[in-house]
Amino acid sequence: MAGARARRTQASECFSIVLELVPNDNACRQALQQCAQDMARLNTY
Amino acid sequence: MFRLVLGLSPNDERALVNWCDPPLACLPTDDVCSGRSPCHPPLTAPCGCGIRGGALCLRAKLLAQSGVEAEAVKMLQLAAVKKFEAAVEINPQSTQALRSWGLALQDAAELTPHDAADAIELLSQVRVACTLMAVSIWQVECDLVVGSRRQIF
Repeated sequence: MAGARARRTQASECFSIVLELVPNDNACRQALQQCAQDMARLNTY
Repeated sequence: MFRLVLGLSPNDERALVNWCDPPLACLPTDDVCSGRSPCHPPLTAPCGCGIRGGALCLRAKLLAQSGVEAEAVKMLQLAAVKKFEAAVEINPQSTQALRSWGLALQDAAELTPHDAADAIELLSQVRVACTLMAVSIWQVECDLVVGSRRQIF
């Protein structure tokens, strides 16, 4: 089963594709930033 | 209902997405995503848009709030992730499915904050870092030895 990190990576990829298709989707941009923050937080452990 | 539709037409992307997403009246629009009219206020994403909860995702959250065992909540969340994934496979350009898939994955990640897969991945990264550090220390030592020999001769 995929770990939390793998799921966040996959989520980031989804949001990135959406942003390529809809560049002004701010909600998606924020979700992508949240993913990046979560990944950074995970890296500190 | 959704199961019936998918039984008749397995590639019905809309049925897959709607299975996980909120009712049509609550479907995300650009207005909703701008945060002007959140769909499910208590369950909205941190950004304030209403696209966080889907029917399956919503049930998972409600179960989580009602104190049901975590495993049941996780199963529901993973079921939603799989359905969004299937919807994206049918239509890779569907921004709604992609966005919802990403959010469902994020929620699933929250339910498994630090599991064995993460630990193994982090451990492998630590090993690589240690190897690189050992190589750099060895290089410094070699430089010191070479430097001291030059001073002797």
